[in-house]
Amino acid sequence: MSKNQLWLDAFHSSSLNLKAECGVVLLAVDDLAKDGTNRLLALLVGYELSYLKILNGTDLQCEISLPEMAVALCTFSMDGSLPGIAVGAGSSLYIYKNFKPYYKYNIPNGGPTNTEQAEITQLAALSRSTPDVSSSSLLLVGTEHNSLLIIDPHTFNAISRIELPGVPTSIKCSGFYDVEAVILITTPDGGVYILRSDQKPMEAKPFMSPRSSIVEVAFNGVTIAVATSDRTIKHYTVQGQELRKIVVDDFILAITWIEMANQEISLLAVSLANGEVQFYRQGILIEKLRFNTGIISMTCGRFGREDGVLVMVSKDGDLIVKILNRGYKTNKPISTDLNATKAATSNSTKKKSLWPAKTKLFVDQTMREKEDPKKMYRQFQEGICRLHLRALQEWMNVSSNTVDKTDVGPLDSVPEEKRCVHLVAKLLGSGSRFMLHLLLQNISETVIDNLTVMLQATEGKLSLERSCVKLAMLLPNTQNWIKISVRDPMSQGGQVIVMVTKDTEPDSESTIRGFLVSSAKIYISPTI
Amino acid sequence: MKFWDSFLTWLKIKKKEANILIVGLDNSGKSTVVQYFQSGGKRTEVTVPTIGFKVEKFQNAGLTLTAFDMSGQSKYRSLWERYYSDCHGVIFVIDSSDTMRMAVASNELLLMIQHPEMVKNRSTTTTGVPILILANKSDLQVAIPIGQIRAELGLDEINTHPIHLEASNALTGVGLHAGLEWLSDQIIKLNF
Repeated sequence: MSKNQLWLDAFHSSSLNLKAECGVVLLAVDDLAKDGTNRLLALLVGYELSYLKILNGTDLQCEISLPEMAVALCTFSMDGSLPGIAVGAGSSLYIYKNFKPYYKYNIPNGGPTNTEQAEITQLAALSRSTPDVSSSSLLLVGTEHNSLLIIDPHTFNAISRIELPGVPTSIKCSGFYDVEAVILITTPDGGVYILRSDQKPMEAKPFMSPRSSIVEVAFNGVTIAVATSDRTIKHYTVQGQELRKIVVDDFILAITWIEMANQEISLLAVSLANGEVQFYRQGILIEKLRFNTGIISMTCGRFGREDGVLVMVSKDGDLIVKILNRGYKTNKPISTDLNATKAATSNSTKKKSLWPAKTKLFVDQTMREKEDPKKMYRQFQEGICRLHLRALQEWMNVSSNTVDKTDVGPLDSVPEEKRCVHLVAKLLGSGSRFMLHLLLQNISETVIDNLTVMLQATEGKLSLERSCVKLAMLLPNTQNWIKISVRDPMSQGGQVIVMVTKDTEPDSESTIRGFLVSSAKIYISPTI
Repeated sequence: MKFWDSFLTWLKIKKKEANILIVGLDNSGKSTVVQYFQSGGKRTEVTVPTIGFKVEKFQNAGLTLTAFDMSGQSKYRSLWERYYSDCHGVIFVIDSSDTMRMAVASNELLLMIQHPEMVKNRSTTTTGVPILILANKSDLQVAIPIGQIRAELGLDEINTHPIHLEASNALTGVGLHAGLEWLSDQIIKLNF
């Protein structure tokens, strides 16, 4: 007898036939006659003709046929007047009031030559100010010419025109235009852009760009859910921080938020291609509904006189109405899921220890990068150039200082030895084994002592027989031959650097400190 | 003390008093029902949606009834259970023409019957609090037949409370007296 289910089956009808040529049915619920009963609006999009069906409860109240292919629908409220219905078709906005045609508004010209009439792609209504000041709303109109128009329905003047990086296919908004409003715009090339009304002039800033195409964006004023075609839903904060990720078993057809302020319920409904509608609370699946065909359009809100009504339209044109159960106990059915939650939380804590939380600096940096990647790259290049220059300057300073020091020390001997040691290097051989002959000659008339010959293979895979030869003394006018065998096993060639240094501390064995007397580079070409 | 009370009531010095709770979804006609009982058929004022609740008193069959006319709006429905503890009878009003919300009405009835306070009431007395269900607006063309309402509410499955379903029209008073008669009888039978 006791039933603890999330949804009550209120109504299911296939006789209303909410089916359209293009298969797109957009729903909106509003109190259109101000009689406390919220009507349901369904826009049936056809290539030639579109229909707007208005349902009062379970009955069809009226059906309005539209002259063009209508693509967008929204309802808006006005002070001291009945709420209106706005339908975007072609380049015109058709306004209906009290279920009758009221006004036709042609959107201003745009395009490169400023004469083209742009077509409307999307519509949304945004509250102008807080309810205690005014209940009027503004119309947000997205057009083909990559722009967003903000229209005041009192006077039908475009208050503002904002250029967008792409054609807006979805507009979601929340807040109050005069105070603080957030507008989310989706473009077909797969990016979501964010506009804030408290940052004047308003401009579209990149919010996120998923790898696969976006199915739907749902925004409840706090959390943004983005469903993509790779069966993934990601939750973001308005600041752009990713909260969680849900992966479902089938393609997503539609998502919507279910908000009940007085019951503190915030659920995400996800409709899948296999006919399932899943309900997630903070990323945890709490309920599933199954239908014969996929649900292509969903809306949740006050319908009729009841709050928390979920209205769905299936592929076959069935209308399904579900009402939230007031007595639903959340802890019972998700008891099995609780362990999963715990596991998830422990996982996340584990993850946290591994991956430190994103710092504010990092978030700021990524934000700036998203905003203007070109500028960021240029800045980086400039920085790295400056760093190179600085390093070079420092090195110059250091090296010139050491020269100064040695100059201060044995002032006369340095140039003497530098001038008087003569180095000749010869490479003999043609195969993988070479013989390196070094000739050291003292052309001065004094004895030069404590010389070290150092060899280093800087390129190629060469192996040297010895890398260091110490010469205790070099008598004047004598020839000192040093013979070192070099092997080039890979036959790739290479380079050997020979340096002759004069040791200033001859006693120490390990470290060689001194100054360069002479050096040579020997290239070994690759052997065939 | 109880004997003294019943002695006084037998002497008609002390009047029999009972609290009844009038609940149901919004726009089902609860306030109109109360108004009919109070004024005896004369509609004095236009009813507006009740906010929170209203307390009214009226008499029937030697019984002084204090009626708690609760608001049926979904945001106020959580208030209902605050009054379950000391009520002697319940009038549950249903809008017979509201096909879509019949499921909600059924669910609310179930929630009320299963509420711990209502169950506790049952244990102190021999049976549960009597519930009169008024299928209001039965004169409307689109009204659901009474048999279908009985089935949709699942009344035959409820055996914890005495339940009576009555088709009514609060504007003309059809069915109201018969219903209230039954409820008064039940209250007197169970409490006095």
